[in-house]
This record gives sequence, structure tokens and C-alpha cells, in this order.
Amino acid sequence: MSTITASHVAESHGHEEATGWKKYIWSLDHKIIGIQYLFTSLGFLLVGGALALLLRWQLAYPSTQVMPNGDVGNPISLPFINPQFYNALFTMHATVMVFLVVMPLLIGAFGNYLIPLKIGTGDMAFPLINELSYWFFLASGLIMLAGFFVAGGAAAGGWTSYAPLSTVAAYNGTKMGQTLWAAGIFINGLASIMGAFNYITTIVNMRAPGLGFFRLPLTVWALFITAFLLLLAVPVLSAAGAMLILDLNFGTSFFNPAKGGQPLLWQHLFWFFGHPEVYIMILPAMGMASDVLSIFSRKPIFGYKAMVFAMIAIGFLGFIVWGHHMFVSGMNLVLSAAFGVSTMVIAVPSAIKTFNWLGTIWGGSIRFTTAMLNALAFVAMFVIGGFSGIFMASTPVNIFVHHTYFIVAHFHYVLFGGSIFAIFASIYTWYPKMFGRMLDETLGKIHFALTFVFFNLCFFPMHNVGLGGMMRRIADPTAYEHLRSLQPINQFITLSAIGLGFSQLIFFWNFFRSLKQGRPAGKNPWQATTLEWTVDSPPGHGNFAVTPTVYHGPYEYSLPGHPRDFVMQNEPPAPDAGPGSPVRRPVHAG
Amino acid sequence: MSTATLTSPGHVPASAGGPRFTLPKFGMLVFLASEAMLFAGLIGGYIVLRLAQGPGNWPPPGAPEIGVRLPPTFLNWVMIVNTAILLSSSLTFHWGEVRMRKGGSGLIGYSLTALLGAVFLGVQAWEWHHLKGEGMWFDSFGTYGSCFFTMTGFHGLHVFLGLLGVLWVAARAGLRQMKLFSGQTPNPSHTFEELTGYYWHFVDVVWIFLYSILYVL
Repeated sequence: MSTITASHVAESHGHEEATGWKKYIWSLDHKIIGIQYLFTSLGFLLVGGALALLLRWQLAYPSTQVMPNGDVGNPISLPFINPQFYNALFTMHATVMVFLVVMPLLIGAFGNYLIPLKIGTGDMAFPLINELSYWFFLASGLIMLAGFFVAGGAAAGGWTSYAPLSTVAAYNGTKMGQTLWAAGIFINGLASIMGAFNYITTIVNMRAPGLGFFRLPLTVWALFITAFLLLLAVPVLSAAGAMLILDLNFGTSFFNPAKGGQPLLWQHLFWFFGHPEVYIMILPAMGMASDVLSIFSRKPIFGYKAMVFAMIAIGFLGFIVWGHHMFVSGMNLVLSAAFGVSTMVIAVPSAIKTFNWLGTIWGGSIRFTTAMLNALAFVAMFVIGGFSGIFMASTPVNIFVHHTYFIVAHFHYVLFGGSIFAIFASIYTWYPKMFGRMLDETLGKIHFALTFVFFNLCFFPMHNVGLGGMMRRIADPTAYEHLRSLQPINQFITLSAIGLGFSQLIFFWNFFRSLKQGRPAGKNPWQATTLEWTVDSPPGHGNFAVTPTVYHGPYEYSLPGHPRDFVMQNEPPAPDAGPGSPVRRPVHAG
Repeated sequence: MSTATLTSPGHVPASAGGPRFTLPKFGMLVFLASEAMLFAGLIGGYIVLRLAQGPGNWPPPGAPEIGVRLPPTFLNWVMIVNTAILLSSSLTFHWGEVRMRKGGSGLIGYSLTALLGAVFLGVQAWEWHHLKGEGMWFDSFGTYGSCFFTMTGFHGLHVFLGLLGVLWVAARAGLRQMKLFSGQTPNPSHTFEELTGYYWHFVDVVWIFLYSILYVL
């Protein structure tokens, strides 16, 4: 493959390569924008993690605990955490992790970086809108976090911001913080929508010749479906956020029952967005984990089309299940049964995906790289989080566990155990492509082992304290008689959380050290098949010197009778097989 | 801004037969789906809030009547005419596009569109002012006031953004007309006109829905 020259770039991509510091401010290159998203959201990950550790410390050693000798405040508590600040901590922890870490890492960083490379094109359809999307995202994060510095502090009504708690200043105690939160959500939504229609346009129109939809890597399929969810769900949240701002500041009464408004309307609008949002945060993780599992098992994805249709089904069903977040809202029981059933139906495509992942690694010659370990952890943790999700789809169970730590355990198993492990798997897999150097495998495995152990020590006991009756969003568990016996478990969870948090420093050390000192990666360090591995690491501006032609599906590993155990997607076929020849099935040993 | 900086080059699409839409048009259509969901959220909320008031309480007692009555009131006539003005602006835009495609400039059609759009916004501003004079505002008459001003406000904001686009289109048409007069070849790219057209027609269609539920039903 020849190197890409500047003149080629100028004539074929409509925008010049930016250089120096300008590259990181004005560059329209999807790869730079992806890396901007990556660094920014890793920064926000540190913020969100710090907020989590502060709130965990308060739960283990409350500043308002009445000690046996009558003193108020545990001797090792953090006295600046009062109940209002505690509320702001968990609200902003969730907001940061959802909107500024998991979504931008999966969609902003990997979506931007991988889509054009994997479909064999030079850039996104609308590079300028792509860059604007990043700046809107950054602004939204800064606006939301600015809440910590205004009178009253940051938003404290939970990331769900239920009305009337969020809409009445006297209840939430921070009109300005709550308004900044809603404004941030609105701007963040604009960034998401800009990304979504850009991705859809790119994937539909700019695939390399021969790259039909059913030759797309599952990562691209997942991001494609996710883009539709963003496109259709996010604007509803934007509408709700605008109503929230108006209610708080301009005297409207959408959610104010004193003036004829409906607090439940907020819940419906929020969860109409909020449930697709759950899949927005897991579908790209599923897609990328699928690719990682296939690469390191040296086997094709088991049931490729079933995987695609399962993701489409999950995306569609995601729009008709939002009521399962509202079983305790006084909802009609017939309606809650309907929402319960539609929710349980999602277990079917989810199980298809899980069994296909197992089928993919079954009998493979597995390479236990750090990326693979993280992908395997993703599958295992997603199963645990998925199972507890099925419990909660059942209304009677939900009414019992709703608003307990059982829910907290559930969604951390899906969001951390699922999405974050998949993000680590993806970083370990595509870092060499992004920066041209390998991450250190030894540090990576230490990081993985510590993360995996501390993650389970931290979040699994939350199931127990939840079933023991511990409510979410309380600043001081020791204030409740029935929770005092659980306090040692809470302290254990907090210590595990600290272990989990500090284990991430190994990752950051590895990440920044390898930028300069990592082993050079070469074009295709993993012997993978898709188009991004045919170009230099990192790829030049414009990606491909010549638009590649695709002859193969994305997962042609271990084909019998082939000299290597993988076939690049753009490798011309053997003389006896035309480009349209059916994909030959590998025979696996044993 | 030229379209070259807006979009990547037209890559060969994977499907045979060539692209049905250019990239910007395709992207605009997908974006409009998102815009439709924004208004769907607002309209859905409106339906819930209105039904929750029960029959006979919408509009609430004492609130100015904005719904169409027989015989129509003066305010009814104003908004009927205003609706006709906005809808006809779609026709004039289309006329401009047809003239442009046939090699003309479309200047008259586009200028008329900008004029009609501006008149629509002006009349709506007058209506807001009039209703405020009668004591109805974002924060009065409960959800009745909240919904009316928020929904027409969101729509008005969209008309305003569309109007900026139409004004730019009209300016481009003026330039095109000058080149035609002097015998030069005008700019062959119609992308900006087509994108603005999609957006403008969309905003009109949204108004049909808003007018129906806010004023008629």
C-alpha cells in the first residue's frame, strides 16, 4: 500500500490536513475527532470516578452518623459532604458517566474513528458537522460540571431529574445547578443528533465497492443501529429538557401539578428517551466485543445474520418498553403487564447474542490477550446484568426491589461490567491502530485482573444490600434502623470501589506511557481481516490511498486450504472463486 | 460556504445504479426525522396535558379563545390567513427551484418566500403580543399558556432559522440573476437551495400539525 500524499488528500477529501496544535482544534479528520472524543471522555471518566469514590466514602463513613458515644459524624468521614452535596454527587456521577463517558467513548471515539476506516472511505459524510458535534459535546460537559461552582451547587435531583423535584426550586435546592444540567443535556443532545445523522449518511452511502450491508463488521452494524436510536430518542429528551428549563425559570407548568401540570409526563418523556439510551450504551459495546471475540478466537462470528437481526430487534423493542422504569408510578396494572412482557421479549435477542458469542469462541484457538480477556469479561458480566434485568421486568419483583441497591447493582453490571469492559477491550484492540504503538500486555493484564476482581467485589454485594432493603439515594444508611446491620457490607463495597478506582491508574499509566514507549504496531498486529488493518498505523489523512474493493465478509478466519488463518476483506479471491462466491465455512478442529 | 467543505467527496456508492440522493440531501432527510421526533415529543406532551384537564376546561375559564369558532373571530381570521401565507411560501419556494433548474435564477420565487416567511413571523409576533395583552403568557392559565407559547415558540424558532436559509438562497439567486444578465454561467450547484427547501417544507408540514391541534381540534 503506497503512502498517502498531501496532494491526493487535497483533491479527494475536500479538506486539508491540519498540522501542529491546530490539528486538535480545527481538524475535520474523523480520526482526530475520534481521538479528541477519546481523550476528553477519559478525562471525564476520572471526574466521574472521583465523584463515585466521594459518594461511596460518605456511604461507608457518613458525616452525619451518630456514633455510639453520641458524637455526630464518623471520625474518618469527609465533613464537607452534607446530604445536599451527596445528592449532587450521585446525580453528577450518573450524568457524567452516561452522557460524558460511556456514550462519547463508544459512539464519539470509536464510532468516529472506526466507521470510515471499516467501510473503506476517507472520512465521514459531513466532517464539519462532525467537528461541531465534538465541540458541542465538550461544551455540554463543562456546562453541566459548572453546576458545582454556582450557588446551591450542582443538580441534585438524580440523573433522571424527576418532576416536581427537578422543577421546583424549593425542592431541589439549586435552581441554577438544575438549569445548567438541563441546558447541558440539551446541548449534549444536539451533539448526539449531529453525530447520528452523520453516521447514518456515511454508512448508507459511502461503503467501499463490494462492501454490502451483510459484509459490514458488527461494530459498524451496531453503530448504525445505535445512530437510529440516538436520532429518534434524543430529541424527545431535548423537548423534555426545554420544558424543564421553562418550568424552572419562566413559570410554565408542564410538570407542576399545582397549576395543572403532570409530573408523570416528565417520566414518560424521560424514559421514552431513557430506555433506548440503555441500548445506545450497550449496542456499540456488543458490536465491538463481537469483533474482538472473533479476532482473538480466530473464528468467524457464529450466526452473523442472527447477530445483526438480534441487534435490530433490540433497537426496535427498546422503544416500546420504557414503562418498565415506572412500575411504581401508580401505573395501570394491565399496562405494566404489557410493558413487562415486551421487556422480557428483549431477553430473546439478547440470549441469541450471548449464545452466538459462546459459539464464536467455542473450539477456537483463543489468544488470551488483554483485549480478549476484557471481551470475555464483557460477556460474563453482561449475562449477570441481563439476568437481574429479567427479574425486574416482572412487576411484582420490581415493586419489591425498585429503588433499592439491587437496581444499582443491575445497571452497574450492564454499564460497567458490560459497556466499560467492552470499551477496555476496544481500546486494547484499536489503540495500536490509533497511535501506532502497542499497549503493554503485562500492565494490561494486571489492570484487567484488578478491575475484574474489584468490580465484582464492589458491585455484587449491592444485590445483597438491595434485597436487604437498602434504598438508593440516601446520604446516611446508619440513620435507618434496618440498615445498620448492613453497614459493614457498605464499608466493604466502598473499600472495593477505592481498589477499583485506583486500579484504573495502571490503565492510564499504560495508556500514556505506550504513546511514546510502546512497541511499534505495524499495520495489522492482530492478524485481523477488516479494512482498517490494511492501512498504516496510524492511518494517514484520507485513510486509503486507493478506495479498496471488498471481496470477503468481515470474519474469514481459519478458512481451510488457505495459507494463513485469515483473509483480508480486500484480498482478491482465488482464481476459482468469483467475488460473489459464497463464504466458505471453516472446519474447526475437534 | 461551498459544499466542498461541507461534505466529503461523492464516493462511489456500494449499490449499483448511482445514488438516489446526494450526501447532503440524504443527511438532511435523516436529520429531519430527528426534528420530527422533537415536535412529536412536544405534541405528545400537549395531548397528555390537555386530556388531563378534562372536557370543558380547555381553554381554562377566563383564558382568551384561540380555537377556531363559527363564525370565525378576528383572531381566527388572522391565523387562518397566516397559515395560508406560510403554506403558500412552500409553493413559491418550489416555483423558485423549478425556475432555477430550468436555467433561470429563481430570484422572484425565493424572494417571495422570504417575504412570506417574514410576514408569518411578524403576524405570529403580533399574535403573541395580542395574547399577552389579554393576560395569557408562558406562566398564566396553567398548561394552556405553557403549551401554546412553547410549541409556537419552538416552531417560530425553526421558521426563523429557515428564514435565514431562505434569505441566503435569495441572495445566491440575486447573484445568479446578475450573472445571467451579464451572460456568465451561474453557479451550477443547487445543493444549498435543495437543503433549504427540504427544511422549509418540513417546517410548513409541522405547522399543519400544530395549527390543527392548537387552533382547530
